[in-house]
Amino acid sequence: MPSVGQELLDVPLPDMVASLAMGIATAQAALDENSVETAKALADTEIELVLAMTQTIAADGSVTFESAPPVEVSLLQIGLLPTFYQFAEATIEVSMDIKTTTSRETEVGVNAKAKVGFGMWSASVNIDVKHNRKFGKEVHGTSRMITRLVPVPPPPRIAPELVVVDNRPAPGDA
Amino acid sequence: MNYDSDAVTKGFGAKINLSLPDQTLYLVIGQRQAPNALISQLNGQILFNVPNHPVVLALLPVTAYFVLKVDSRIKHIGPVSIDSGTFNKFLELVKQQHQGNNNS
Repeated sequence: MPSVGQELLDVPLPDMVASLAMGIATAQAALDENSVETAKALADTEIELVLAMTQTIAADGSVTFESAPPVEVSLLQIGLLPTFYQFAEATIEVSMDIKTTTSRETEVGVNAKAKVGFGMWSASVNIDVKHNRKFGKEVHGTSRMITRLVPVPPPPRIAPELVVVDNRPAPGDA
Repeated sequence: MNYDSDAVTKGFGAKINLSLPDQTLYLVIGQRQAPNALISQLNGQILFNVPNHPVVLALLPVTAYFVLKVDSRIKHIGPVSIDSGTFNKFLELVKQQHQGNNNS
């Protein structure tokens, strides 16, 4: 009969850890791939934006509006970023409740027979001994896997940096 | 929230518990048309329809994300966030450029 210690040793903890690690790696790759696809979609989707308007009030009180020329920008450029997630923690909990019982029963049966006949006799004694040894084992096991997924900042170079070179002369230079 | 991922999970009697925010901002791209109706059906809130594109920014519960992820009418869905610093910087630069054009 396997011992309790052996039962505990039989728990495939290394396999469980390896499976969890591989599962996390696969999930992380899928998450990253999805975030990269989102980044591509944000970069490919361009919109025309009119981000400023000028309100002019004339001497006669009439009001006119002039909008800035539309600017074509990608969603990535205006500050929409894919959310990147990262597995921050993984925990495996295995709990086992092992109960073993052993019982022994001994049953002795004696049966004696004797016969006496003409010039002959016979006798027999039968003894039956029965040993019963019963083993009982109950194993209850539960396992729990916990992973914690946290959003992380996107890679620093994912968004194009907007640099403006202003070559206009300063107001006093004219 | 409890999310029954697939038959394997049910087969083992396992329970998957996801502790996630109720709603998250997603970029949702339809295959041919903007998926406004689908998002509304799943209790999503549409924040912005990108003009001339089947693209929508929407607030969705996580359960809706899992549904849309495998919907053949959806080309792509992914969580996004708004970088307010970048957005404000861009806004400021365009405004400055516009003011410069008016002054010249």
